[in-house]
Amino acid sequence: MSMPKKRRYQEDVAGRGLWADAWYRFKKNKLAVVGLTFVVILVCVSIGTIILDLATDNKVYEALVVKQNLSQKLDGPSLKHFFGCDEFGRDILFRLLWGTRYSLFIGVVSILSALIAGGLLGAVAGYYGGITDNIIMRIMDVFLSIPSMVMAIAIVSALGTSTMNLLLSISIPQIPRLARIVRAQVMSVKGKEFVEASRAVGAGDMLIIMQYIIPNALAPIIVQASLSIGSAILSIAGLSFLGIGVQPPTPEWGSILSSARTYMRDAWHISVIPGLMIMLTVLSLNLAGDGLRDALDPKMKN
Amino acid sequence: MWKYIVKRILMLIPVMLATIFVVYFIMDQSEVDPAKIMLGEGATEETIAELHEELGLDDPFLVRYVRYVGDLLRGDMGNSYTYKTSVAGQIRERLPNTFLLASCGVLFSVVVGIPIGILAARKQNSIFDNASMIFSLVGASAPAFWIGLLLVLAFSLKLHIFPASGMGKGFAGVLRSLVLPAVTLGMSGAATTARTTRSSMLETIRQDYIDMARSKGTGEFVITYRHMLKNALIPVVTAVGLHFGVLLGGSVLTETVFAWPGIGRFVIESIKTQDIPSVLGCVVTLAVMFTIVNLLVDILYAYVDPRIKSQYKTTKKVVKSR
Repeated sequence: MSMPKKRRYQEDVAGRGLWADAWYRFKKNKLAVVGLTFVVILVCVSIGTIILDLATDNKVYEALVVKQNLSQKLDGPSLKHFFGCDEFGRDILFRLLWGTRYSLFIGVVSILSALIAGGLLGAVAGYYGGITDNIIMRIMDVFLSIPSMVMAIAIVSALGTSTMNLLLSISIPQIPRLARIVRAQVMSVKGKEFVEASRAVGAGDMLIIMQYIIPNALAPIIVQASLSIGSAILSIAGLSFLGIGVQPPTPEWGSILSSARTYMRDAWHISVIPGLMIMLTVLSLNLAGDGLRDALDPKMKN
Repeated sequence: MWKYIVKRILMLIPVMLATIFVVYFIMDQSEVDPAKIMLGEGATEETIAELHEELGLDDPFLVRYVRYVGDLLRGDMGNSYTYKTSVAGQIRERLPNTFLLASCGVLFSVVVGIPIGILAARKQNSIFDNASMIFSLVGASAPAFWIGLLLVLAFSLKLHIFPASGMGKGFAGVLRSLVLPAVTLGMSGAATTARTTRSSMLETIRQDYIDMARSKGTGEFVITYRHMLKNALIPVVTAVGLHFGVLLGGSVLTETVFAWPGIGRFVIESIKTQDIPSVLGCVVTLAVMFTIVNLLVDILYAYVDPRIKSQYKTTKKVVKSR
């Protein structure tokens, strides 16, 4: 920001809270806005297809996404089928649209549950310190010393392949990462004067954590969580690609790719297009997450 | 320095025991009955119970865990259900391949990532800088296995330069078949390394000692490599070390795409045949590999950053002055 604008900016800021202020800064970041827009479109697509399925009792889903039509098997992209057809003659565009929900919702729900579990552990560790902190964080360290994808594979192979187990296997490896960040935040807020003041007037531990510490430590936690969703979506696609995530004929993006390898010689579009979709989604989430970080904490921007 | 290394190695033992505990606990949740799989379809209740007794499958969890660790120390990981041979043997056969692939992946990400990061930071806000940042964003967002598929499409099916799958024979053959998997595996690492190097370099560029060096008349080349890079590399070493875990996980995907005969492909095959001892062995091996790499990174870190080393120097007792 150039110097002359500075005063006007400060006047603008005067009446705004943290979140309105962050939104003001976020809007200025073009790439982040593009990313967020794409994410919002994807959310609308997944909600739209879910409503359509409920309204038509899965008839549209059966007709467009699952029904095989071998006469147009492996057809390339054309005006009739923008993204071409797969090995069973199913339109890839529709399969991608209907597959949006799996990546998005499993990604979001797994990170949210990891955030709740990791947040609780991290907050307790950071707030009480001492032995409690040591015990919790050493356990977290052990979990961190297993690569997340390897742990996910172990969980899925032990519990079996189902959407619920996939969710668990994505979520559990993220818990220590989020716990660490929450702990660091809580520790830095804990020493502030307003916390001491509230303790002086007799507030209990639970009240202090909930009312004063968590709201003040929230910004970096939200940033980390939003960036984690991207890597969760990559893991979901990866596990489905390996055949141990979402199972066919469910049109999950990674599982569409897993059949692509067999037909690579005849149909390049099956391997290229779904991957592009995954990449664009994760890219938008990362852009939006980076924008959010810069907006919430301008000091972190380099 | 030696004190530090010994201390770190001693600390490794409980971490490894705990890691194996977690992995063993997770795999223990499996509802697959090993005895049923080993005896096949025609097994009666009695023979199953007998085998349970023989293998000690009904013992408490902790007893089995201690026994597993004891066997592990002797290099025994049990027998594979599908291959009917020792899991350790199967893994020993495949481990060098995975290790080779992972090392080449790291090599690619360092050799590509660090120079891009340096150049981007030196020419901040130039076209090259912007292009390299787009590369790092895209590289970190694309699924690794998809990059593998694209490389196969381009370099194997269209251009016929590299083989699409498997491992070649002889030194040249291995090398040729290694290129695509290594690039696939190293791509996201290269992206994050470039990004970390750039931001870390940008931080050191603003330091006073850089201005100092410049005002002394030191050449730009020496400033970049001696004064900046050496300091900027510290966070990069951490990032590369942390990324090794992602890489080991990614090797499972990459090995599947390229039919590379390593542990990653073995673990997926074993999951599909419900071969629990093999899966357990592979996961334990990968986790242990990751802890060892973390240790090496920490030691390297102490080497790069003398401030850490100095904490463990055998310091002479300083008499406090009154």
